[in-house]
Amino acid sequence: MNFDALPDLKSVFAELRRGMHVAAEDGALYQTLRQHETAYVEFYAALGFELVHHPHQFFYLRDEDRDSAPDGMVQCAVFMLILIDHLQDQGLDVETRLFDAPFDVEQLPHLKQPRYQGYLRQVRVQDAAALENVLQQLKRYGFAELRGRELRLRAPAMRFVDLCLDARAQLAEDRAAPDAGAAL
Amino acid sequence: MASLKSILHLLAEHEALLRALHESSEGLTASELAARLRTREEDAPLGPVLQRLLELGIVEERPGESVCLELSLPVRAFLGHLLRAHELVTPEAIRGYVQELDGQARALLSALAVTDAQAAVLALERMAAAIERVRSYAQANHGAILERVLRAKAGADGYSVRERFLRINALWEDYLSPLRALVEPGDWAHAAFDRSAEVLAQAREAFLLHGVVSAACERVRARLLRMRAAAAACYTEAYRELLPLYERARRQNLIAEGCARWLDHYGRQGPARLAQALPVARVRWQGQFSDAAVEARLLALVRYDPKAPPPLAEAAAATPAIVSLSVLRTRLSEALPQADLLAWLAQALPAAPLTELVRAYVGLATTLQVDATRAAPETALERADGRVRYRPLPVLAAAP
Repeated sequence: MNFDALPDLKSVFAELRRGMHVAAEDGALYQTLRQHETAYVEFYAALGFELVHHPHQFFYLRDEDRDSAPDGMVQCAVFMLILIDHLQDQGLDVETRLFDAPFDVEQLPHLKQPRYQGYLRQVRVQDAAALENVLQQLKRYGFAELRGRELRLRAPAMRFVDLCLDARAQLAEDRAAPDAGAAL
Repeated sequence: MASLKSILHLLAEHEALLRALHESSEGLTASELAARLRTREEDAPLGPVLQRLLELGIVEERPGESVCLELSLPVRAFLGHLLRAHELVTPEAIRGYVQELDGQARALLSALAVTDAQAAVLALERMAAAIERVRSYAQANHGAILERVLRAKAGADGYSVRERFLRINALWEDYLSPLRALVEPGDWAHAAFDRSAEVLAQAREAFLLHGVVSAACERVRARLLRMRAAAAACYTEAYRELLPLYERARRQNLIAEGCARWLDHYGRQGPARLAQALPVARVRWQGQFSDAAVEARLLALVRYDPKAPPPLAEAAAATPAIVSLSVLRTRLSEALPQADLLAWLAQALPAAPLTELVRAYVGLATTLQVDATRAAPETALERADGRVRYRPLPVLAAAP
């Protein structure tokens, strides 16, 4: 296959290689990937990457040689888990609330509860400035948009919902661990 | 005995009281009732009214608690029907009436075998009652399920995600799924209805000459058909309404449970597993500076203008001050004997610092044959970096 013929190869790779999730709302880039999906999948496979097309209409790149996410991604995950936990504590439909309306950055629960602060400390987020940096990471990875003091989640944030849905399988080995710990 | 009209009139007069009792599944005390009625601006004295309602069997004292009143079961069902506030009926209750229907169909078959019209009529009456019970229960469950679905959809049930899932799951497992037996071909209830329909058809043919029995068979058959149609409609509609809600609640519950699992694991064991679960490519080119800080540092290195080294003349004063003991020992052995070891060292090392001079003195004195028996008079050594007062140590020869 002649990969030179792939349209927007450079700009697509420039976005994907830095961990960006390209969603339908990104317009031309998403459409390019959508229309030439097979060719792009082959191209990235030849480079040792996996181009993933998520059912919620976004693309991202997986590095087959890399078995863990960068620190910024982990900070995003902790941020999102806290947000999901907070929403479900309020009895809200988590998915609907996450994607239907923006969040006021000042009202985020992350630094307002000691339990959440403890989680954030583990990824070196201890104050408002560090939390602001996490919001920038969410934007950088394509998980969210920041408009002034409003945070609007994009479709790729579904990855964190998937993470929760897969928890049983992912943490299956961990199931025995709490019992073992409790016996000590 | 009071007339139906006067009883209904009494009920209408005290609608608020009846509604309050109907809303409370646990019953209410007279004072609780009074408090509720005050908020509804009903000022009639409560005591005589309650007494009258007790006499008529409209309300009853809760067993073991005479101060607590509740609606009697038939009145509760009647009001529930009028207010469309349906209560769920357990599948066991429906099963009981389906079994009754099956049993009476067998009784009808026995009556048919001996052409006993009396027994056939009795069996037909009981079959009709059982069929109407099943229809009523299926409709009640349908209404109750829809009511709960609407409350959950509106988010007006006030439950947490977990509680809502448990309740919807219970609706699904305990009330809707068993109703499937009424409409699923081959299932126990469906098979019982088929058998009953068959027996009714046979009985109608057999009792053609007994017009009353034949007509009764036709009426019961019509009831059976109506009940089956109603049960199918109720099940289908309840299923259609409840399925999306069930799926939604189940998904919400999985998300909530998964989130809690991750946070628990992360809190105890750190972010390693979380990092593994969210793979994403992050490619950095080697040799290419993409970070502004690194770029700035590189530019600073390129622009670095080093300062000239100090002139050689200045550097001469800083000759290494290390003294070699072996060289000194050789030189001293050639100049033995010496009356004053330190004076000889001072002359041999004119530029050495005082500390090096003392180090050399100690190093040599312990490895030479010295005469320490006579105490020489004290003298002093003046150096650029200090003054040492000492007694001279004569050196006789090199160490044996």
